[in-house]
Formats: sequence, C-alpha cells, structure tokens
Amino acid sequence: MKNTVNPWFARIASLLLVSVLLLAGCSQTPAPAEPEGGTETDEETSVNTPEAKKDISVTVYDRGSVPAAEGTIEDNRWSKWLNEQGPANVKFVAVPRFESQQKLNVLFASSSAPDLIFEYAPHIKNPLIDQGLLMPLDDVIEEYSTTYKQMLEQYPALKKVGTKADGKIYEFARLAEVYPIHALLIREDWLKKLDLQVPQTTEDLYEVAKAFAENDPDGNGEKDTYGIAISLQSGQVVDQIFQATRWVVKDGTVTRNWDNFTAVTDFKKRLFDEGIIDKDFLNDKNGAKAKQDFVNGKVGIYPLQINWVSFAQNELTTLKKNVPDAVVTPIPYPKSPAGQFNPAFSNPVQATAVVNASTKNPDAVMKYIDFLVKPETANTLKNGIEGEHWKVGASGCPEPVSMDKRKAEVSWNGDFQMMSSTILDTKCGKLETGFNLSDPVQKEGFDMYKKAMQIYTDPSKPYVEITHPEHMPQLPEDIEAISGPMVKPIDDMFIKGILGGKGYTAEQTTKDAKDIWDKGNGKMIEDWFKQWYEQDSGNAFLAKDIYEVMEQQQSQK
Amino acid sequence: MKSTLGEKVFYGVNYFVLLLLGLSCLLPLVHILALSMSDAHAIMSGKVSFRPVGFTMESFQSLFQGTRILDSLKNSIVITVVGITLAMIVTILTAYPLARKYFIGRRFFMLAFLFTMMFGGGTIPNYLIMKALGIINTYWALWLPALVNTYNLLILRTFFLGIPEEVEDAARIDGCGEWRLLGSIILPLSLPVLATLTLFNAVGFWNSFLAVLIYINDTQLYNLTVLVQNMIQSQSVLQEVVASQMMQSDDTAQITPEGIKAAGIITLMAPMVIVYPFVQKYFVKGALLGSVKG
Amino acid sequence: MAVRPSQTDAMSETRTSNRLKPSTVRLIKQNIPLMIMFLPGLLFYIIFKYAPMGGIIIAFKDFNLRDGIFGSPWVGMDNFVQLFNQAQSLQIIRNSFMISILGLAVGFPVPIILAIMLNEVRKLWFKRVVQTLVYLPHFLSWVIVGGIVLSLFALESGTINRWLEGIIGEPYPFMYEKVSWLIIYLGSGVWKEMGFAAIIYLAALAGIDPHLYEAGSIDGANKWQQMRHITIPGISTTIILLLILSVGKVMDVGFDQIYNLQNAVVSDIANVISLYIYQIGILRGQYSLTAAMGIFENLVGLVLILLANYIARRFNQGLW
Repeated sequence: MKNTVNPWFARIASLLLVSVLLLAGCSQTPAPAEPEGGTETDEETSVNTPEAKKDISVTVYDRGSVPAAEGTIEDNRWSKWLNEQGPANVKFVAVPRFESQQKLNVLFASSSAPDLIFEYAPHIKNPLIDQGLLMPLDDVIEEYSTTYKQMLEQYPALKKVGTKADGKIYEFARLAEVYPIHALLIREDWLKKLDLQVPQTTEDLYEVAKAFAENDPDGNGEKDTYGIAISLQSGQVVDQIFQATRWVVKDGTVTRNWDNFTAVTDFKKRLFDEGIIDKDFLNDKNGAKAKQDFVNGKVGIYPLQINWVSFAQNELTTLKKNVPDAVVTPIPYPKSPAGQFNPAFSNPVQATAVVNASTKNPDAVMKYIDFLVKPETANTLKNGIEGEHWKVGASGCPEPVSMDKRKAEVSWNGDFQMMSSTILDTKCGKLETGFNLSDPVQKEGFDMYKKAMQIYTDPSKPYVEITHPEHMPQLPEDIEAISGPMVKPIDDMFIKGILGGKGYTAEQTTKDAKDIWDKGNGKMIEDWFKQWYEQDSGNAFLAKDIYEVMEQQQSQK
Repeated sequence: MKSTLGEKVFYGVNYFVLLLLGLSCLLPLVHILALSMSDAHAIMSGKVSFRPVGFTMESFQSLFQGTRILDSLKNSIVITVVGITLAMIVTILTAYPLARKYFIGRRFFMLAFLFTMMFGGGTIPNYLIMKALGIINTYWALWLPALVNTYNLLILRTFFLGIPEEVEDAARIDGCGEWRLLGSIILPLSLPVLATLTLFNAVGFWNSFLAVLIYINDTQLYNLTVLVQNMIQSQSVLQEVVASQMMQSDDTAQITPEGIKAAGIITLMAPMVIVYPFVQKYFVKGALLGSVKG
Repeated sequence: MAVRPSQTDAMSETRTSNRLKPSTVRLIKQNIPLMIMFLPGLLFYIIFKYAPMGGIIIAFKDFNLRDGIFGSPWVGMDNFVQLFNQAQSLQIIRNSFMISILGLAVGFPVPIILAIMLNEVRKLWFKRVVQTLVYLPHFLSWVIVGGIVLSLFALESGTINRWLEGIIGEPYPFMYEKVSWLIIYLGSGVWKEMGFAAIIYLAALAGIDPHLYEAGSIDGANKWQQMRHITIPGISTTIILLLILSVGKVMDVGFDQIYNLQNAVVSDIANVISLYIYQIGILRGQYSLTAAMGIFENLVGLVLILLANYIARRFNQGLW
C-alpha cells in the first residue's frame, strides 16, 4: 500500500488549528463599536475650535448603495465632511437596513451599542426605551442644545412626538411635508368611453368597477379587464375607504371596530363573486400582478400605496408605452357607510434618532444633533457642495451642475439626512421639486400629484386612522401577548369571508372574527385602549395634530 | 452485455423522467435569465417569458457598476475557501475517532453532539461568546462557529464506518498509526463523501448572510451575498428614500426590482453552478473502491 | 460491501478490557492519537455549542436586553403556560406535525429514487447535465419559487388552469382548496430540494463496489433484483442516518416555504410553529415566548430521534 497523503500534513494542520483556536480565545481585539475617534481630524480642527472635539459613535443604515469609488458607508466624503464641519469626532457604525433590529439587539446585549442611533421603526425603539437602554433627553437638551432646543420651542409637535409614556423626551424628530401616500387612481378615458361619472359613494365605486369589468372599456372585444385591484396594498386602501381599521374613535372613546369590516368584506365579496377583480388577488403577495395588470391597461380602478415621483417614472411611463391613450387621475375617496375620508398621509413629524443610555459624551451627541438639524447642513447633505455639485437654477432652487456627478457623489447619502427637516426649506424642499417637468409623462405625473394634494389634503374630511401608524401607542407586553396571536387569525377570517361564496355572509364573517376576539380575551385590549385614550392620548400625536401641521404647511404657500 | 426488453423499457422511462425533471428545473432559470436581461417596461408589463424582451444589460450594470462588487467577491472567496479548509480539517479529525469502536466515550460524544442539533442558544448568547473571544468583526466569527456541522459530521462518520475492516486490518499489520491510517487509507477511500461535504460547506459559506450582517461591522468586509441581497431589498422599498429623491429625478435609467433581483440571483448562483461539475467528478461509479482493491 | 460493524462488538470489547489491566493500558495508548485528533472538535462543541446554550434559560425568564440573559427575572413555566393557553396553540402544533410528517413521507424517498435513477444512466454527459439541472432550484429563494408556483396554478393566469379551461371548460382553485394546496406545497418542496438532497446518495452510490454488479449479472439478476440486493443495501446506512436525523426535525416546518406559499383560505392547515414564531417573536419581540416554543419543538424532536435510534438499534443500524 502506498502513502498518497503525508500523515505529517494532517498532524501539522490540526496543531495549527488548535493553536489558532487558543489564540483566538486570548487575543484582545477591541470591540469595534466602541468609539475610537477620527484621529486625523482631531488635530486639525482642535486648532480652530476652543474646546477639543469629543468622540462619539453614530449608526448609519447600510444599503450597499455607496459607489466603490466613494468608499464605504462608514467612511466616505460625507462621513469625512460631517467630521470636519461638525462639532464631534464621529465614528460611524453601519447597521444593515433590513436587519437593523437584530443588529441593534446584539449591540445592546453586548453593551457595545453606539452613542447615537438612527432608526425609523417604533417597534424596535420602543422596547429599548421600556428596558431603560435609551437616555432621557430633557436635561441634555436643556443643558447643551441650542438649535434643536429652539426648534422644540418653535414646533411643539417635535416635543410631543419625542415624549414617551413616562413623560420624558427620548427621541429626536424631524419635520416633513404632509402629502398623501395612498391614492385611488381611475382610468379617466374609460369613464368617458363608457359614459360614467366619477364614483361618489362606495356603491358607485362598485357599479363603475363592474362596468369596467364587463363592458369592454379597452375595446378589444374581449372580456379581459378588471374593474378594480385589491391585492395587498390595494386592498388596504379599500379598507381605508371604508374605515375598516381596528381602532376608531367614536363618541369620545376608542372602540374596536367591527361594522366597517362587515361593510368592506361585503364589498370585496361582491367584487370577487362577480369576477370584477383578479381572483388570484390573495396570492399576489407583493401586488406585482396588480401592477402588471395596471400598466398593461387591464385595470380600471387602482388603489395603491404611492411614491408619486417614482410612480410617474415607472408605472405611468410603462402604461403610456403600452396604452398611449390611457388617462389616469386620482379621485377622492368615495363616501362609504362610515363616512368620507382623506387617504393616509406621510408622517409629518417623524422620530428618527435615539441616544444610548450609557453614552459617555451626551453633550457631544447633542451638539452633533444641533449641527445636523441646521438648515445649512441639511442643504449641503441634500444637494452637495455649492459650485461643485449644484448651482442656483432658473427656479431659484439648487440645480445639479452635472447629473452624473450628483449621482456618483451625492444621491446615495440619504441615510445621513435622517435629522433633516426638508420642509423648513419652504421653497425648494418640497416633493414637487422632484419631478422632471421637461418629460411629458412626468409632467402628467406632476399634475396628478398636484391634483392629489388638492383633493386629498382636505381639512374638512377626517383622517381614517387615529394617527399615523408610527405614532400609535406601544402596547405593554402583557397586552401585546394577548393581541399579537390574534392578528393573523382575524385577518384570515375576513379573507375567508371574501372567498367564502354565497353561503358565508359578511355578517357571519364578522361574527366569527368577533368570536376569536372574545375567546382570545380581546376585552382586555379594548380596556387598555380606552384607558390610554382617556388618560394619555392628550400627550400623543394624533390625527388632529397631523391636520394642524398640514394646515400650517398649506398656509405657507 | 445485452439488455432485455424489460431493461430497455426501464432505461427509456428513466431517461424520459429525468429529462422532464431536468427541464422543469431549467425553464424557471431561463425565465430568470431572460428577466435579468430585459428592459424595465417589458418586465413590469409581464411580457418576458423565456427570452429577453427589449434586450438590455442595465440590471447587471446597476448591480456591478460603481458598487463594491469586486471587493465583495474577493471577500466571498476568502470566506468560502478558508472556511471550507478549516471546516473540512476539523470535521474529518472529529469524525474519525467517532468511527473507531475502541474510542473511549464515543457514545457519549455522539449523543452530546447530536443534542446540539436540537438545542442552541440563539443569536444573543452566540454574539456574546464571539465578543468574549474577541473575534467580532473578523472572519473568524464566520469560520469558527461553522467548523463542524453536526449533520456533516455524522454523514462523514457513517462513511468512515462503511469502509471494510479488512482494509484497515491490512494497514495495521503494515504498522500504520492512526494518523497514517486516516491520511493514506481512509481519506483516499472517502473522496466522494469528502467532495460532497466540501460542496455543502462551500454552499454554506458562500451564502453566509445573517452571520455576516450580525458579526461583521465593517462594511468593507461584507461578502457578495450581503451586497446583492442589500441592493435587491433596497430596490423594493417604496416610501423611504424620499429625502434623496426630492431633487430632480436622479434615475434616468429605468430598472425594476424584478430585473435587479433576477440579475442578483444569476450573479450569486453562477459560481455554485460552475463548481458543481468538479464535485461530480468524484461520483463516478465505484471508481474508488475498485481501484484500491485491485 | 459497505456494512457497518455492529455495536455489540464495541461494547463487549470495552467490557473485557475493563477486566484485564494490561489491555486497559493498551486501550488508553491506542486512544491517545485519537484524542489529539478529537481535541479541536471537542473544543469547538464546548465553546460554540454548549457555552451559548445557557441562552436557553430565557424560556423560563421574562427576558429583556438591559438585564441580559442572566439578569432577567425568572418566571418559571409562565411562558409555557401562556403558550399552551392560547387558543391556536394546539392547532399550530398539530399542523406543524402533520405538514412535516407528510413532507418527510414525500420528500425523503424522492432524492433516493432520483439518485438511483441518475446512477442508472449510462450516458455520462446526460447524467451530468440532468444532475446539474436538478441541483439548481436549491439556490432559488422561496419568494421566487412561490412566483413560479403561482404562474402555474393561479386561478386566472396560471398555465395549468388555462389548459384546464381549454379541456374541461373551467379552472380549478388549486391554491384555495386545502388538499390541492397541500399537494402543491409538498410538491414544490420536493422539486426545490430533490437535486441537492440527492448529492449525498450519489456519493454513497459511488462507494458501492462495481464487482458486485458484475457478479450479480453473471448470476442472472435482473435490474430490479440488482437494485434490491446491491444498490439499496449499499446505501442503506446513509438512508438510515438521514432518516433518523430528519425525524428529529419533524416539528420544524421551514419558515420561508410556508410563508411564501400559504394564504388565508388554507390557514386552518397552514398555520405552523415557524409562522407563529415569526409573528410573535420577530415582529413583536417576545423572545421568551418564542424560546419556549423552540424548546417544546426541539424536545419533541429529541424524543423522536432517540426513539428512531432505538428502533434502528434493534436492526443493528443505530447511530450510537
């Protein structure tokens, strides 16, 4: 027998491995999340400023979108700029955008969380606050802040949003424009062709949808059109038209809403039974099929969650390519049995940053926040350096010197702008500046947006929900434990109602859903909400606060 | 050797069924390939089936251009190659004693290892261990916890056990020690399973995603899987990056999430597909045992 | 032929060596090189498997990040009580059990059959091409496979329903009927993983001595007999090993697959543990509750593995 492998090789390899294991156990690499400080900037700037900059660590979302030539999200022209111009030595810590919860949890669990944490999701931040891992900011603001403190005085909403159940401020927030993020779009050319009116009530909506599905509005002689789409987000928009949301304020108290669910289930049920919608809507998990039908000119009414600029660039452009004569327009939500509503709005006051309770330099964190909220900082991060990236254009607003340069060097830095209150720039900070009006389709998209702003931000119509979802109160753990497991069974029940055929009425569906609720001790959740509404809702940022901001913004025009 | 009618039928059916199975796996791939090379409007309108419509490489370009794809590819290769090497060495060294019936405590160890397949500590305890070891933000945090996969270990041990005892006895009479027996008899006889486990490890390390996100802080160290997944997910987020979109439309290029996703799938899959035939080489029927014995 | 040495040999050897002192010394001497080899793996299991296992205790605690794993307050069996008091718990456990038993029954034999079929292919290029093709779906995510399933079985746009409309005039709601949904669920799982799972059997098949087949055909054994008496016994140890291991995973229905394929209409049979953990643990941060569910799931798995091994030992095929 011949030796094909040297036995010594294996022996040495294993020895190596053992020693590696041991070495790994002994070597003391410093924990990465602890501040190390940008040492190069340290010396330069300390000459200019009287007191030395302090070290802080700050999270930044990573989306993998930084061009290779620009470095990484933690180390690039903008991180350097923030270090040079800002009041602190910032070490950036990347947090993966779509796994931020897990990453933050392990960082906190191993006490290596950064000082300043940027995070949108309330369901990630609230438990951290409850567990005492985040710092109350009232004293910090009082003692060290200038700019942000001023903002708090000027815009009390910022304070309201940042304040949590114990009455202390935990979150820094920013102001944003109020605009509709849901819309009900209709094919105006189809309306004309079939000689129909814009639906005023949900019953009209059903009639129009039925006509769109049955009377061959695209004129190809085939019955291949859908009246309306209800997959995923589209279905949620329809729910909102009927105010089929779990909690509603009625007679000065919050109640669990059931009747509106009956109404919307009955509505959807008719659509399904009569073939007005795509019968596969339930399996269209991301709404891609509905979108595909819409851009192919096969859907008459398209309720959707909308990003107006990207809608013009993508869906509308593709629709125009496939069906050049198509005319799309947003229409007001029709009047439902529960009333007539405005669609969901963008969050006008959004909490975006929290501070680690064990931070060593809260003063430096505060100064850094002050620096970030300054309009000049926000403008530079958004547009780049004047002369290099932008110049003042014909409209009086910044215009890119070169689109390519902007794309390569500026446009990816959005995650550094989480403290920017763009709306404070009343002239150039609005969404409408995002449309490229020289493109005819985008011009059309722009007109749709303008119309939507008019019909959807109507102060005389109520908001559907109690407030924007980001401002809904956080349920305490024991209530959550009751509520959480019931969400899916009840949602599923209503879907079964839609697909259940003639024998299973909407009323029966609601009864069965209510049954789950009662058996699952839903009463306790109701009591909790009632109590919250009576005692704490005064401190919460509710629909009326959104409307206040909206009216304020409208009056500035 | 001539075949009977029954055998002919058997072979015919066999080829036919395999052909169908193969096709069923091929078609979706062709569709994804077509998507990755189609124009955004065609994708959104659902016009793409098995060939590109409005041929364009923009999905790939937006994936490759400017991003850190080369760096992350290099990282992926380092993670995978070193990871495989370490894991294979330790797995072999652990499996071999477990396959020796005179190894003291082997039943205990078998049970103890099997137990870990069922119960684990979860993300946070694992992270704390890595932190205590000081290997956070290094690839050791990816390699070391994956040194031995119990599933692979048990497979390897079973194969070792399957090697006829006569072969070993002969070697022992020749005066072989354990190391030589393992190195010069057992391993050469186990090439098919070693190739298989190498492939399993390769797939595992190549696809590292969550571990990279959690244990690696420095984005420069991210691998290809993380980069591509990140981009795919960013493309599908609707409302969020409004701030950077406020300025006049940056994107003149039209790309859809579906197109990017397709390009990402192809990019991530390609190396695994290229590697497989090399593994298959070791599956040639009976090549090993026959040659050793003969 | 690949036949495992029986357990009893090992046992009797240890027993006799205990009595005779010189052979104990020999045994220890014999074990030294093995122990050296074993050390890295042992360290690995201690450091990376057993040390983090302390985390299991959060199932008996009200876990919070501030106090950490050890500091969080004990709550005894509260999490388990809460878990089993929930109305749907029983249904979820039953569903998980049913779906994975069926998955095992369907999904386990297919890769074996596929490997044997590939093994019987004489044209090497054909074998390699098919082998590579069936390996591909393993690399597709369930989101993608869910899309493929839909393009086949959707009520209005699905290819199969288009055919059905042509043949019998009306489509069939495959995704909305429990039985057809279950078949699709199981089938898609098999389709996605069969090629990858077959690899290990192909490796096992490569270890069978070709002389056995020659001898077999000289004895006049036909294909079927050769398969029964040579091929299957040749890979039986691998089959039994993998069977025992998959029995241990019997409560574990992969999240991605069920999440992407389920819909509300079939939720009565599709609500499983992994979906529950996602909704409660990940979306709502109830770590202790989900840890408790995990413990329950794995305890069942452990019992089943031990049982399976016990049965296998009766046939001299046990793992330990």
